[in-house]
Amino acid sequence: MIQELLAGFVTIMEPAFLFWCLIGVILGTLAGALPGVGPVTGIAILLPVTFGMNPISALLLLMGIYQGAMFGGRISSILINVPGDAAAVVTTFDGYPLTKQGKAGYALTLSAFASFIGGNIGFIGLVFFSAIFVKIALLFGSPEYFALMVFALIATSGLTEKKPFKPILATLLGLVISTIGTDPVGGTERFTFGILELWDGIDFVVIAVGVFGLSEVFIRLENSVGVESIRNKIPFSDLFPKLSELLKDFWAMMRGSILGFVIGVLPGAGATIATFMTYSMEKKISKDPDSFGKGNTKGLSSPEAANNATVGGALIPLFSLGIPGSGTAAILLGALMMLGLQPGPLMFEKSGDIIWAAIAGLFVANLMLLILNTAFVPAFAYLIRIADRYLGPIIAALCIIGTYMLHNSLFDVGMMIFFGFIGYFLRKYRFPLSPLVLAVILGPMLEANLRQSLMMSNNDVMIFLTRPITLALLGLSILILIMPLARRIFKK
Amino acid sequence: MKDPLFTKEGMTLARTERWFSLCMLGTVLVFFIVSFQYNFISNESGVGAAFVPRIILFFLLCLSLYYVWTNFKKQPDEQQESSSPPSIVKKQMTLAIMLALCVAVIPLLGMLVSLGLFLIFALRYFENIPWVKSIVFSVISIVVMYLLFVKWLKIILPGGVFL
Repeated sequence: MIQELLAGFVTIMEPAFLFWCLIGVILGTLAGALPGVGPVTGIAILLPVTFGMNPISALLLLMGIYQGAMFGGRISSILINVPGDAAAVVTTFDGYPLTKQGKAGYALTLSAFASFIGGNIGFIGLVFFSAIFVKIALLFGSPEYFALMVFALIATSGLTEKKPFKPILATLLGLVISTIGTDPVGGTERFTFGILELWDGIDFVVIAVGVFGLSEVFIRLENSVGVESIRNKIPFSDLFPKLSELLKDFWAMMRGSILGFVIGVLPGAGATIATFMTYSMEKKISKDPDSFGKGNTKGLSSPEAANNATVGGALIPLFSLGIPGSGTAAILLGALMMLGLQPGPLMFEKSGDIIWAAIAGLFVANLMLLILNTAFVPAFAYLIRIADRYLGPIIAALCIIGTYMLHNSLFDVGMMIFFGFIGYFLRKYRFPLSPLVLAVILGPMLEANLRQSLMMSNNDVMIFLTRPITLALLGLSILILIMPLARRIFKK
Repeated sequence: MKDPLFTKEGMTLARTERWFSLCMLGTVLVFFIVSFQYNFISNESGVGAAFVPRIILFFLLCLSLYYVWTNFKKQPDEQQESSSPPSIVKKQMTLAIMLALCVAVIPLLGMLVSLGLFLIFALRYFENIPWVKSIVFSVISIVVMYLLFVKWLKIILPGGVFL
């Protein structure tokens, strides 16, 4: 294994191959930074660039685009509070508050460093633990996925907080919004009120861009004096965190990386769940949970590490079994087949040299990402300082064009504006947005897995209690629910 | 003495939240009633289309009722946080109208022209940037968007009458 990996590194150390990796990182970052584009669309759009290329060059380009696009979404999240993709939503929680404190450069550098750590943990996991995690991933069926979704929702919904009422309300609202459209099992239309465009449901990106991005434009009209700190010139040394500050968050990055990698292995789970769960975990174990959402660096660094660690995790089922672990991996599956490679158990035997070169390319892309994005931090910080007065209308314009790009639909733009109003009022009345957004994402998967499980067992609910992984996850969920109550009883 | 919902002095945040809670309750109630159009149990696939939404809506209805009740229970207080001043509310409503108009004219004028006009008027009205600067910035932004989205990403944007 080590020998093959070293051979892979030797293979890619040619200027031509490194050049394509660099191009991939740059293009991927740019694509990921655009609201509404994200890693999946970014790779899909840039895939034609690989046509006719040498397989190793093509794979290095794709690895670069994958890593770049995963990080790119953070840029718009941190700078203008518009998430580039679903997983970048969590970045807005503490990344944007740091920008409002005049620490945009700091946040971007921290994010780049955390992504580097996470990407490397994902890489190590891919190289050394593929075989073990493939076996675990194969054990996950519909009941296990249902239990995982329940666990993720309860862990991140705020049920365990001191004032859980509004988080619970937000979670349930998100679940209801997720039911609009077509029943995932029976195909019946639900809550469409005769509107044809709602038959496909409401795209998550429409909701996220509206609730986070457009609502920010309305909020900025109220707080126009509050962003004065951004307009002050920032000393160069303040653009970058000190090494001691980076190391302070090291264990948070490690925790996020490991959790992100494990969740990334599960097909369909993906970076979004990983980032939300990591954020929730950090908040729960923090000595200062109230500082989360106000620029806590662990709230930024840990999910960022998790996000990039999922790349390595998602590639395990793809390379080993031919099953894509995420939407982006699904596009990569198509790309691998176009290059004449057949993902699956025999791929390492038949095309091992190419695959190990691609895996080595993942590490190199990760390193390039760190160097490039850190180098551009002063430019980003300068841009945000001089463009502050222009940001509100620009954000609104980007929201409109980004949303339109999803399905070439003005209806989506209208829905985005509607959710912009909803997001504004939710923020005004102190409703947390993260439970709502996570519920919208997980709702369809939760329902589909629940109903498939009941179909498998002929409506026997014991299916959730007789499978060990399901039972363990549901047990953990109940434990999280009763812990605050138990704490109160013991305090008395 | 309980506060009336309407007041001439302007609404505090608590008072506007009452309206919000009532809207939420109304919406949830409508969804709950509509959910009875769908099957709760299905012969073919175990549970029906209404199973999950109706259960969620039931809990949401209970919580929304509680939310309305807690908002109306709050007594008026001089220290209550104020809602946004009328000038800000006016700006926000103007922004909402401008956004709606922008989307409405896209089929006629095209995406880029509509966004360009939106940027010009938004920068002038909301940020008090002089006309010339607003126009120059908007034109540059639209050119960048054209190069990025149309030329590079090959997205087909509505061209309106300029197609």
